[in-house]
Amino acid sequence: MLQIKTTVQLNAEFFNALINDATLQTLIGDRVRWLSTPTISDTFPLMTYAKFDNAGQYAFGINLSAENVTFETRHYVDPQDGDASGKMSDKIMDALKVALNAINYRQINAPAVFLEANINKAVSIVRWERVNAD
Amino acid sequence: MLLGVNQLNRNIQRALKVVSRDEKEALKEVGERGVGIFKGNTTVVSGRLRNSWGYTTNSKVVATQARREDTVRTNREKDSVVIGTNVVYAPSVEYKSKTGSAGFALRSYRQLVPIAKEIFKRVMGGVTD
Repeated sequence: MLQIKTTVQLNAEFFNALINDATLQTLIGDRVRWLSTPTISDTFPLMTYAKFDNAGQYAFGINLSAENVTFETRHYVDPQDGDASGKMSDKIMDALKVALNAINYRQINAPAVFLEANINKAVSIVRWERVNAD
Repeated sequence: MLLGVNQLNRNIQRALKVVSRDEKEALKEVGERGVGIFKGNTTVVSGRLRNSWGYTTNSKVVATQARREDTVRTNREKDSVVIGTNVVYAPSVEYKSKTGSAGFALRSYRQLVPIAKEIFKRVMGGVTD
């Protein structure tokens, strides 16, 4: 019998995927936070995540599963961080894909990259939608 | 026997033509409805971003109010529709705004998906993700 997960379980599942992935752990360690703005005194790279509303609107006759969720991850890196094998930002992106595809999330935007001028770090914003098994 | 097979092939080809025509119409309808939803949710200061929304499918771009440089780039695929804008500051409104408009494109997408599914159900008798 298929059991629908609660919001708390979905949050925990997402967080655990970020924190337990072996590659991500070597890159960002345990610096995964819920909805926060990093300051210059933080250690980088660093990641924040947030959950979006389940639905955009209420509409009669349209059924939305409680598992219709979208998460957003933001990873902050030093723009110069990287070595011969690639930029840090790209490495984190690849590791994220592996970690989140494993729990059935798909990437729904191209990473939007901005420079945070006050802390001199580049932030990549990526959104992930849960793929529900029908 | 051979004649029968040829006839069957012709019938299948005819059916496929009808389906592909319907698919194109469905994609256009999704595009029109989508642009309406995106415009409705776009935050407005000058109106440049709201006017710029358009859709493109099958190498055609429909963006009636957009400036030339703000128009979405051409999508050459026959079986997909792209709704978008090319306004240079659109990503910062969507991702970085602190006035509550952040995520407006995602909200619009969420509103559009069930409608798009209904359109395809009506036109083609079913759809999968």
